[in-house]
Amino acid sequence: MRPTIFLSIFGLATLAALPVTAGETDSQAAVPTFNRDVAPILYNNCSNCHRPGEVAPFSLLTYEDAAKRAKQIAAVTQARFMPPWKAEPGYGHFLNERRLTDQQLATIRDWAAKGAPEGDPNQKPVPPKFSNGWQAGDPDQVVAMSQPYSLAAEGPDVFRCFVIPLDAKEDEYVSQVEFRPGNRRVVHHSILFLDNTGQARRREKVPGQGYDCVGGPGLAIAGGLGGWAPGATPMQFEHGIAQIVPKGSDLVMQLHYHLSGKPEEDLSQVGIKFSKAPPVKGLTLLTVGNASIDIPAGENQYVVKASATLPMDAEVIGVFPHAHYLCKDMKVDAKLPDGSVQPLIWIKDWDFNWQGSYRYVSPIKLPKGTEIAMQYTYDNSTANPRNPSNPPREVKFGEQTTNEMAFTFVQVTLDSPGLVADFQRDANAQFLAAVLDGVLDSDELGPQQKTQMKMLLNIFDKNRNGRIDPDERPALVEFLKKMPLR
Amino acid sequence: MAAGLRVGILLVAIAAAFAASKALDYSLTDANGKTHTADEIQHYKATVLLFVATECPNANTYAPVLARLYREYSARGVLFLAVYSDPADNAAAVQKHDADYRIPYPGLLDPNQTLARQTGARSTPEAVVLSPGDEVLYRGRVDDRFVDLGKTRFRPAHEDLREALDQILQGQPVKNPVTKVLGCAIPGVN
Repeated sequence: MRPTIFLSIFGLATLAALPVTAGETDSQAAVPTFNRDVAPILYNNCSNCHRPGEVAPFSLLTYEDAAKRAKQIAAVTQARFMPPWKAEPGYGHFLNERRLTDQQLATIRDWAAKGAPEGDPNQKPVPPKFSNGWQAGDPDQVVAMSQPYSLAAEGPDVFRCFVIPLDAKEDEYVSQVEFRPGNRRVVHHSILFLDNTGQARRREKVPGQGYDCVGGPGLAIAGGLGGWAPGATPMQFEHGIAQIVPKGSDLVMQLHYHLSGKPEEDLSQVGIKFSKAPPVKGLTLLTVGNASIDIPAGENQYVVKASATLPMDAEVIGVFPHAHYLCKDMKVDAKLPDGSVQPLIWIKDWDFNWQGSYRYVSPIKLPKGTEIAMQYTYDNSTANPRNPSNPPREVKFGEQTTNEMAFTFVQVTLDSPGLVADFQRDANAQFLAAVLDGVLDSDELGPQQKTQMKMLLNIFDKNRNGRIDPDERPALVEFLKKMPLR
Repeated sequence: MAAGLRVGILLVAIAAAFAASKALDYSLTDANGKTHTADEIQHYKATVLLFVATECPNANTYAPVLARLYREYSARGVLFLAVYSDPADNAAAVQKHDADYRIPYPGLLDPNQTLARQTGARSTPEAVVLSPGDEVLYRGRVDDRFVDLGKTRFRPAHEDLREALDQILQGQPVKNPVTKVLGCAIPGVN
């Protein structure tokens, strides 16, 4: 009996606090129904993943599907856990934004609270037809892992890079890329890299079985073909823009697997469309970030700041922020030479599991000299449940799950493909100068690279504090720009 | 302070309500057609009812963990029963699921949600541990790996169900008799 009394008291208090509603008929009319109000929201934002055979659990196509889970749908949308979309509104306008409006959230909440009514049968909408094949049409080339990869029933998440030869005899121009997860119960996200050095092949000890890779493919990359997380749409470049695949390149498919509770196998695929004509614009990346990360155990507000400068006019078409499990907040701004600030992205609740590439609805034109500045905040305390170490330990830069990273990959186009080499020379110099003092302890560097890095540090670290300070950096960047490109 | 006290009182009240609710009365078949009734419970030192669902990823993740707990604690006189309280989880679906996930204990079909209502289970995976006299001794999660929506620990800090079973088998009161479950709502009940 006692809980009933308690609940009654709370219930009365809540009722008393509510404003008196208008007439019965008004409030009846205001109750949202599935057919009129809720189905369009679900069909446009949820059903693409929540349907039979797709990546999400629970189909959300029929009234029965949705009504029996109404309260859970209301709870996860209210918390903005679903649909998964991490970028804050007002900081960049992105393609494929899966963000419900406050009005849509209220509709779902009120519908669930009023017992999830179906509504007028005459208003029953037709569930959308989804393609079960390639979403963006048949690709020119389909490549896949050469054999299924087996996963255990339980354990920590698995990060694996699979090396897939693309067999390009000439340089090729990729206009569209679509990733298709093989086993939707376990594939959580994928990032696609290109390697034209053969390094990835050498790391794959058993052909077709991939190699462990958490933070990245662990090698110098010749470019990327985008990424995939549940809900992502195929990557399509605008006319005149293409990712160049150097001849002989391998596709390095990084896969993040969540284990499901039973043994599983995966065989994921990538479909590629090519453009016959060479691109008229240059496509490249500016990498912002640094490796000077040393987060004390227990620190809950550790800030990493980094920046890079555009060496020429460019248009930003996408942004890919990257950190590991301790990062909680990421903000990237473009600071123009005229002093104005163009926000590029803000993620307030970074979740490594939902990393992805964010592509802008319209390219953002930025003049030469624009500084791309990032500020990432990390929580290495026990209050962060995602902390890989409990109790927390000191965390430094590195590729492992228990290390951290602070990078923003900014995808830009240039007025002509011929400008890419100059842009990259400058961007690479800035990148190397930014990470130089932080990567010296990293196991990822070979002995020869370490010796070279130490020599550079000795020359340019004028005040001998072991770091390249902001006033020491320009000279180092100038020096590196003149070094032959590797 | 006041909020903490209020929650404390509420939990005590809920615990008192569980202690008072003794009358389990059901007759359900498992996926293999065998009938299970409430009488079964009195022959075991404790009974673990595992409310699960074939489609709930959080519940499925625990399959290997629960299989280990079953092997360890069934040898010590604990009965394990999975309970499927979604009418969509029929005998064929549960048979396939339990074979796929290698689940070693019976899966009761509860399409009318009798057992869910009688025990007050609302989510999957929710464990309800009963005494031989069907008192609820523990209710809640298997462990604390799921912290919040989208927030998961690398490894659980507390194996709540195991700790409860150890305390029960040692004849001690369960220290944390009610824990929060993060998983999927049992349709219609929640």
